[in-house]
Amino acid sequence: MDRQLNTFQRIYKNPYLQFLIVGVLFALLPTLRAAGMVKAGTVTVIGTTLIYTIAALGLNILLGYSGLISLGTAGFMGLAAYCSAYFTEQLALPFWQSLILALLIPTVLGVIVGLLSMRFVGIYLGIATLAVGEILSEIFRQWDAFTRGTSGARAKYPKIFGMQLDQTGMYYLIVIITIIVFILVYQLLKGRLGRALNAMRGSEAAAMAMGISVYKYRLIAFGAATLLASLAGVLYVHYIRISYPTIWGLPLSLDFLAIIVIGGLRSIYGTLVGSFVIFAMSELVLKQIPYMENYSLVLKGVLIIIFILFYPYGLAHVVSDLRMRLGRRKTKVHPLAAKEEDIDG
Amino acid sequence: MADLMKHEATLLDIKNLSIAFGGLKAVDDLSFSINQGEIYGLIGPNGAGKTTVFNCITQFYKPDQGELRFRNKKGDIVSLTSLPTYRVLEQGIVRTFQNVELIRELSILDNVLIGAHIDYEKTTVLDELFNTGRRRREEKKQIEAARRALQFLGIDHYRLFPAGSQPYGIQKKVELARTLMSDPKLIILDEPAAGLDERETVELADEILRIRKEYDTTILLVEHDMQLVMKICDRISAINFGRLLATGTAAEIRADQKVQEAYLGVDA
Amino acid sequence: MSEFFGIILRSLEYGSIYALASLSIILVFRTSFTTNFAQGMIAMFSTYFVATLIHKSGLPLGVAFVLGLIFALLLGFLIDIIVIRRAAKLSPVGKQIITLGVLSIILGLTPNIFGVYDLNMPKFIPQGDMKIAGTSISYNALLNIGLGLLVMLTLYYVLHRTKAGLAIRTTAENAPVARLMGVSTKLVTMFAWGVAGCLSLLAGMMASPFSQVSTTFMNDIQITAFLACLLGGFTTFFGAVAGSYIIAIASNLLQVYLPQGTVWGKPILYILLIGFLFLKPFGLFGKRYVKKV
Repeated sequence: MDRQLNTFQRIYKNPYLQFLIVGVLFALLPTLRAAGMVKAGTVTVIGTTLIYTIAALGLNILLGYSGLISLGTAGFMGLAAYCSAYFTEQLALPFWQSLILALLIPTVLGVIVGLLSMRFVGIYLGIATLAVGEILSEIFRQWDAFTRGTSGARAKYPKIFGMQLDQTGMYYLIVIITIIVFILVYQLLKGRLGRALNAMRGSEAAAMAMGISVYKYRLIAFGAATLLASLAGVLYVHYIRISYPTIWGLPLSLDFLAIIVIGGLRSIYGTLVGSFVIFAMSELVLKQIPYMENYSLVLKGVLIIIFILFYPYGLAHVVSDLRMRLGRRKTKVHPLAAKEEDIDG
Repeated sequence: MADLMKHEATLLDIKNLSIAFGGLKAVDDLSFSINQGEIYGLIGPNGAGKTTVFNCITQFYKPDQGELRFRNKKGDIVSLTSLPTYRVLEQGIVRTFQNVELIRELSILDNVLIGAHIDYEKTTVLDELFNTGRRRREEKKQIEAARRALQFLGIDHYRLFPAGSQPYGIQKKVELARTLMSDPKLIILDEPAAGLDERETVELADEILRIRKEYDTTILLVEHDMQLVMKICDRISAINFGRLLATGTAAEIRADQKVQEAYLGVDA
Repeated sequence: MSEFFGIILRSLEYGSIYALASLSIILVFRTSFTTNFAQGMIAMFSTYFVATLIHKSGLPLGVAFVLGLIFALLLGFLIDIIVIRRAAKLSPVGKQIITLGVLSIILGLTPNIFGVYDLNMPKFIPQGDMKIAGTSISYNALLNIGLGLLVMLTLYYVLHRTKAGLAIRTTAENAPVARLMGVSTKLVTMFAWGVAGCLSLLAGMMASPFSQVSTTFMNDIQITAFLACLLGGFTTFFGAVAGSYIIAIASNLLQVYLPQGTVWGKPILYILLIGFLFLKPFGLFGKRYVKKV
């Protein structure tokens, strides 16, 4: 059954090497810009896209692996962004201290929402997280002392290891963090924990019978998802250097959902590809086409529906699907198919 | 009544178990006990409360009354009702489900590995995050164990297929393999032969006997297929309307008048 | 005392709006087992349609409203036929994501079709008020309260006294059995989506004079309606209606009696409701459901 891999295959199939290559490719971008081959704006768009990838990866742990929906991702990302802006600017804390606080505060809140998920099963959770996102939005709009309201909270490029970063330096930091996140998420989910989350989604009864504490793993899933959203928020506010309340609303949370549905549930590369489709495409491609810019929301909606209905494994599985069509692979199961008890409500 | 748990041989003692749903008694004052190394059958007509008994033992339901005592892996006697559902497994009780509860999208191998969840006790989330040597060794050990279980049931060559894409017979075997991963003292099988054809049922009978021998364990099963039950069970309890009708060997059960009435519907 | 009475009276108007919005959610949920996140957008979109007819085509409110009802009905049909029907085999979360896709499409279409400006919506009755027990209330508010009650009574009558209602209730109870009994569940579901669209439009028409017709004016109402459904147990029409009025009263009390209530009343209400639902996840009237394994 196991085909023997030759040396070449063994190298290019090594996941760590793949992550590194992806990282190096992204790191080349500023050099290409210096050579005049890429526009400066493109680098910013790609940097932002990587930031969104990190947050979407968090949602993928939650929805893809654990089957728990959250419409609060943008709210948590925004909370971290505002925290970091507030701590570094108003309280003048060093970047590292601010970072730890800005990751910790939303994550604690995220775990509390995870506690809610103990009681809000299935359909209820989407509604509860929608309300939580709305509460956060309202706080961003109204609490001027913390968020500077509609005039926006400002932040600077950070200083790390005694080095003051500029825009390009911040871009490199984003690439490095993205690749580290990829590697850590990959390691976290490829074994026991990933299986436990999968079991929780696929059959709660089986999970409990196999000694998996659904309670514990839901909290872990929510914690991990919020931590990644917070990390993305901190990177965002120190890269774009301003945060407005309007950014962190439901449409952004929907974008994260679209990313993982289109890119691929339970796939790291899928999340990356999905981010590019949702953010980079509309910024880099759609804006070039007359009228299309105004239809990006429509396009996202159509893509969400088409992918869920007809291509539920997302773009991440194009290659394996092609192989399957050629008769070399095994059949697949719809990842969001109803279980027996769901059919009649 | 003498305390059965004093006998070294007693593994599970069920005493005066009762549970009602909306006033309807699904299990009514039921008592029986299982000895170590037995293959024990629980039979009864449809709706007799067999699966409910299983759900009470494994704490999916909390019984209204009664005691469930179990001699766990460490040899201590524990009261199962005091445990949350997910902590029943670590005592040494593992179960299958009537409607096969597998993670359809995961490979068969991964499904079986889920059965080893608690055996990773030594590795922490941080071990996972940083992929430590301890985690890698543990994972390798478990994969070997899972493949042994799959080989034991003759389905190792399917291990990379998604579980949901396989025929029912294979899925049932995957569930069986999953139970073997936790080094159980008691395996509870909920209608293991349901949906299997005749050849598969014969195979299953053989497998259950082999599991007891190879994995040195005790088996409790609910089954409709009388031939299977009569063939492999050392002792059998027959229940109806949640009440115990009779306990005994296959021959005794077959000869019992109350059991015959329950099955044939003869008025007493 | 008269202030308190005034709050209750005003709450009834908001309660009607929430009740209509939550009824549309429950109607869709019971017949197609979908929690429809796009319901508020359907309301927004059809209200925009009505406002545009009034402002651009100069139609009188009444005519525009009737055309709007037809529009909302067809919109509901369309969404069901094109999208929801195909999603029947998805898990509840999968269906939720589908409705979020619909939400995104409608939200994206709105400025392209109706323009980017907020529109004014006239009240059904432009002016005039009367005094009830020392509190003044506008004729329009009374009409809204009355309309809400009328719609609910009609819905109750249709559900419990007509053949169509029986078909809906059977579908809601058990779709496969309903099909066996010859109920065209497809037709029931389609009409449920259409009628839900109409109820949403009515809610939108009542709510929009308070603000303006914009892409976001239904958002709060949608979330509140969802919470009202949860409070009512998410299964019965009665529960959703009761939940709506309770929330409307609570919301108004918070806004008036809480310091800075107009600013923080809403988030605090949401937090209180989530807290309550955490303690009673099946709401005031919902039943606990035990999964069989």
